[in-house]
Amino acid sequence: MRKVRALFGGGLVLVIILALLVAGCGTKQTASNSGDKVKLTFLCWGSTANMEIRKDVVAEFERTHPHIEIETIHVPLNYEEKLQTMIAGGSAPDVFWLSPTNQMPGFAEKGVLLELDSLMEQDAQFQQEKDNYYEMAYNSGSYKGKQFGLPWIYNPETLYYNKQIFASAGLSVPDADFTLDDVIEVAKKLAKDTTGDGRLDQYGFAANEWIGFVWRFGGSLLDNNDSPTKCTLDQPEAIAGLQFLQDLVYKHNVSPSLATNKALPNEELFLTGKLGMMAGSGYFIPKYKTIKAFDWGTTNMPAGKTKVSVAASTLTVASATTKHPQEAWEFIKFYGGKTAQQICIDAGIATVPVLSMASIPEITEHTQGVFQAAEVGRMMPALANYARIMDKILPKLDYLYMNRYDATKVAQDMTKGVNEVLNQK
Amino acid sequence: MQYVTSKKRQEKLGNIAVYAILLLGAFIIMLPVAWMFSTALKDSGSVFLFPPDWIPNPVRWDNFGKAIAAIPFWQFLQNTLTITLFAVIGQVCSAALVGFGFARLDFPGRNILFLLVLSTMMLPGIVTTVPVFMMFKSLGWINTFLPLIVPSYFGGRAYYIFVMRQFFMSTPLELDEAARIDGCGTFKIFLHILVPLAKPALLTVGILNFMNHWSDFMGPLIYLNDTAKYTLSLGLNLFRGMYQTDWNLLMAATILVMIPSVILFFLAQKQFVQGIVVSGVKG
Amino acid sequence: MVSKLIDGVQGKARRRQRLFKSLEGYLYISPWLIGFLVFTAIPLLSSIWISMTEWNLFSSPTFVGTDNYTKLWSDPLFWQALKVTGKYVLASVPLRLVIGFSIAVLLNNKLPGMGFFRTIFYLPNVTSGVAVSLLWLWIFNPEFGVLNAILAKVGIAGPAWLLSETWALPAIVITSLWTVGGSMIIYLAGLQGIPSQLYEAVDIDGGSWFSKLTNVTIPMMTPIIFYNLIMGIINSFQVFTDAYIMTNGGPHNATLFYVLYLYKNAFQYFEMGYASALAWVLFLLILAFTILVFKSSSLWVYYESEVKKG
Repeated sequence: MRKVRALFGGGLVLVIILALLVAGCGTKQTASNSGDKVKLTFLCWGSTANMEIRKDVVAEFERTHPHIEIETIHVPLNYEEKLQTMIAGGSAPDVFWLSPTNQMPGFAEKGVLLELDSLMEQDAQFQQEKDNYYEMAYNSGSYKGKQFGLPWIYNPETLYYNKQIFASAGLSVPDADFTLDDVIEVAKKLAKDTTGDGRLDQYGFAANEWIGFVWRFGGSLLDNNDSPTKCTLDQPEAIAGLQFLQDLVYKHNVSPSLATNKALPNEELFLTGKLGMMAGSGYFIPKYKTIKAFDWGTTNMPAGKTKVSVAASTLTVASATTKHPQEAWEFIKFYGGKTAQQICIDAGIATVPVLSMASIPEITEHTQGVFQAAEVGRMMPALANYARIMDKILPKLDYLYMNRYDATKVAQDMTKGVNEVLNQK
Repeated sequence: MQYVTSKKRQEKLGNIAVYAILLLGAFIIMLPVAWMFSTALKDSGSVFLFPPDWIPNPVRWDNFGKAIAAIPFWQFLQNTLTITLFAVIGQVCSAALVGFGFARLDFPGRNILFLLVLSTMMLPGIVTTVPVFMMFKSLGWINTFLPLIVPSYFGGRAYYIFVMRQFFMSTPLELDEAARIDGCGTFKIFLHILVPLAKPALLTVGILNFMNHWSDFMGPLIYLNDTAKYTLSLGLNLFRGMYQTDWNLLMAATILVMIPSVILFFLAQKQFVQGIVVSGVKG
Repeated sequence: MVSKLIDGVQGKARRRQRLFKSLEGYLYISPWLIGFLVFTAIPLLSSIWISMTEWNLFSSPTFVGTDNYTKLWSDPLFWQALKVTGKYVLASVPLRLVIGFSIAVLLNNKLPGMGFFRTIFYLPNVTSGVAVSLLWLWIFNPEFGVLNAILAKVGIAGPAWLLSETWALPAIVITSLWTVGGSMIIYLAGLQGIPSQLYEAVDIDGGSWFSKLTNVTIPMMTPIIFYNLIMGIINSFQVFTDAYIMTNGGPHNATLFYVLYLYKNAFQYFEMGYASALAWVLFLLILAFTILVFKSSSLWVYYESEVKKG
């Protein structure tokens, strides 16, 4: 009897297992017998929030381009590893996303990306639209004079301010003409240690992008962005910018320390009402729209010697080995075009479209800063050796933020490291 | 009389000491886990509060529901179950067979081959990612579960072959010899004598391997393309965005993914206390 | 003459038996053998070849012979990575061995609640993914983290942990100890296999728990200790995910683990050839240590059954 039961139990388990196996294999890809439809594989990243929006864009593209089918491969993490493995293994996706600063230059340099110039020239409709793009956004897709992608999102950094904190201090909020000196003066009045434990509980000002301050003081990373020969961080202007960052924490006492930021990023400090002013990406606007505890607004970035906003974007690019370059270009153009931009804006993940459009929502106090900053947006230079160079810069930056060394020594160390990488070529 | 009570007292003191040490250890071990739970129950706005609260206020039990709803949780669960169950069966069986071969049987080149087995664990997998991908691509297995399951049937991870070999080598030969005198063949000895003796070891291999596959991230990442085929470990990372992460949902989802392994382990406890192994022949 | 004939026949039979035994052995390990030839051998050989090229993963690899290997020698980051990893192995392996074994011994009794404790100690191994590393980032935060808060209560000013060049590596060693449950359950399984008669014999002789430990438990567990030692060495040389997420090799390369440096070369610096050379050097290093431990095993590992050659 026991044997029979054991056999029955075993058989049942086997059946369950087989069922699962069939279910798993059932979704195996059948050969693309979809008639004469062109199939494009599309590699992308993004969190749960963005997945739905991306699906909407893709669906709309397929609707308006019935002869093209998009197979989306969504990568939750380790995007570079998957992408590079696929390319090296001969399965390069037809279209995919890349960061214009971190990734595109390196890939373009190695000849992995499809050059879009000829396709663009032949596209009359696109030639009419071309000038509507924000120059910075459009140029982020080019490397060494050739165009490799179009941006589908463009996020300049903007100056966020917490209206309640300003009101309690009896000060008026920053406006588009603020200078860095104004920022310091105001921030000092906003920074407070309410619990008396020696640590600030309310911060006056915090910034996310270090390179912006190098630029604001008139410095730069490289001597020549198109054909760099040396790093110029050791020049007095750049050093002044770096010193400004260090002074924010240790001289003026208005910014959180590095240790604080590791536990509480600036954007969270602002979100929880602990930060008076923040220089951060326009990307946070959708999240901040849910804030109920206080009113807030944005304005243009404060000016140093120059007014500049560190901008970021994401590009849609195509593989050099794609069998359907024309269709790939259609997809790239679509994602960076008015329809897709409208979808992204309506869904709230984008504020500034990559090209000027008539039908964007009315500019409010929330979004005014982003639009102002978009005019003065600048991106990091295209570095084919981006990862190596950043590995020479960022660890030294930590020393700056930890007050280990002053800006001069840090700048010199960084310059030395970057020059090593530049000369390696 | 006194001798008995003092021995009893000694035993009692010993037991108290054991519990004390275990409690201290458990407390230290649980601290990060408690923090994980605490974060999982926090409101989006209060994850990054300073000073950090242990007890969330408000307590958001619905974070678990949100975590499940945010991703195709059940689909991922089914996929992960399928892969894990099939792989574990293969791993346990092949590790037992191969470990037995290395432990009990003699053949030329045995030691060199065993060293080869071990050496497959010594090369960081990063540098074989691309050649292995190309190999599976040539078999047509990309975007299927096969690369994640089939290798388990062919020895799988050397880790488990090694542990089974050690276990088999620690069991006395007398039982084997007695069985052989009775005319039993090698396979019968393997199946009816050694496998039952090695139950705790096999169970351990099963549990550890279950966990490996349950939380395997790189394998599914590289070989699977359709989101519909993704596993829970991939799904967990969908809470990380480009610039921001839903930490509370991430922790909630991590806890949910942990639960099956914990339950499995707790249930398997009985087998671990099956008592001492019958040695039978000696003494 | 007849005896020689008999010897000959017996010899043939013996040889045939030996052949049969060898074939049987190969049969049992055939799953692994086949798997190795089909799934592992070719990628391994490819990787050796790749290590002798310069390859950015996209264009065809360029053959450079042993250039990568000579480049290693003068690469300061290679030596740094080796140093960091070496320190980690020296700290983590013995600690994990001792702690894992001790906890297993403590848990191997019939007192009530042991199942509960075993599950707790194993819980860290069940947690997976990025969430755990992020957890540790918070715990180790010098200003807001739980660890320094507790230390402060006892009057110690906690260090900057992951932001300190001296304390970042110890922090990562601590996180590695959290998952000691994995080796613990292997010890537990092994402890189950120790015949109770041996303990009873010590009781009869009037021995204490210490005597039981040193005369029965430890000697009988040497095969498993050996296993955890080897696995500990193999695994701890290849540690990198924690460092990747928590410190990215910092501060200032204080936690630049070997495999992390390897990973950066492979997927961030477009130097798969160099990364492969790094991998094979590590392989040789681990192999050397493993062979050393294996050779030493005859001195201290005790197997109930030694299958001799012949």
